[in-house]
Amino acid sequence: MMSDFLFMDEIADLIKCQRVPRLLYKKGMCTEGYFIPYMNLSEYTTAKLFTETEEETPVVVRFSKVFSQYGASDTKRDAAGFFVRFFTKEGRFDLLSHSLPLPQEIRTPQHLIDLLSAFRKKEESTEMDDTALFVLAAEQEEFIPLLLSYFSDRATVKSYRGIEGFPLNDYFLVNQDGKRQEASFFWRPVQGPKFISRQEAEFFAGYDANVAVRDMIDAVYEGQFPEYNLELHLADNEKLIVGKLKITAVADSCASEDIGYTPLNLVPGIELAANEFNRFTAFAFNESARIRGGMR
Amino acid sequence: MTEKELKATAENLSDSLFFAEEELRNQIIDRIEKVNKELAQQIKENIIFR
Repeated sequence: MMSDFLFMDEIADLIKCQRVPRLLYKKGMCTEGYFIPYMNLSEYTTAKLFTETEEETPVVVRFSKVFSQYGASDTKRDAAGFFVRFFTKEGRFDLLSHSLPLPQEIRTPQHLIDLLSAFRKKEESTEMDDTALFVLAAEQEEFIPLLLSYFSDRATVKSYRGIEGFPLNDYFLVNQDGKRQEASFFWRPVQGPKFISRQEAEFFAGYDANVAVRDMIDAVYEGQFPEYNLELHLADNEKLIVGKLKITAVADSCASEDIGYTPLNLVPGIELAANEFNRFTAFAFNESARIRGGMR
Repeated sequence: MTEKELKATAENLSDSLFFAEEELRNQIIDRIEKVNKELAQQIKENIIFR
């Protein structure tokens, strides 16, 4: 049997899926689809994915739970990661979002480290799940907005089709005259945002822990392709619906483990805004992707 | 926050805070009171009537 090269390939396929575990965003799924712009944004940016209105840009989208462990229920109270990689003609562009907004009060490297440390401690202890966050919020009032958001019904979902995407990073759009404009991107599900109550979340945790993953797979196989509008917010409070993301396929679990998103994947015409938080997240995501086996 | 969202958040928080140590629970409610009095009041009532 050990001389059967097809058998050896099978083993190799299984082994190559083994990666260093992620620190966050552990439980997730990868999907594929495309993005198509509704309008030409050449007034703001030279990025071709926003200026060629007839062009579909292929995307790989990873939905995940932010803090939950592998094997956790999809309905567990947690934010969801909503990461999109655009494969544009000019290279890759990664747009990282969460289903809960990251409050302005904790958009600093130190607050994020404190938050991660609290959840890491939680993993290692037998304390009630939420105690770590309560302790953090009691020590630092900046975490209260996050606490309120975390305990809203927005933090319990049974379908990734109904989540919104609030930006992790903010950007500068650069047009052909070199004019730079602050911008951030939001994803809005076309069918409208959908959440579930705590009671429903508890029911699904026991009944079908993979309900959100299953829901996405069912929707794709039934041809009910999930769609999200991309909303562009500009510095002067102008909001534009600039394009649509459509998910048309489910990628295999190996792809989901493999892919490493980083805010440093940018294309000409889009720059990461120069602030400490962006620099920190860029370093952290880049380092994580590198350690886990490269920015595939 | 709409009335419905406020009610849901208050219920979710009180269910979890109920099991926290009293000192920690009071600290959290005090902090919430500073940003949203109505929410803090609902949490207190929910915990009392559990």
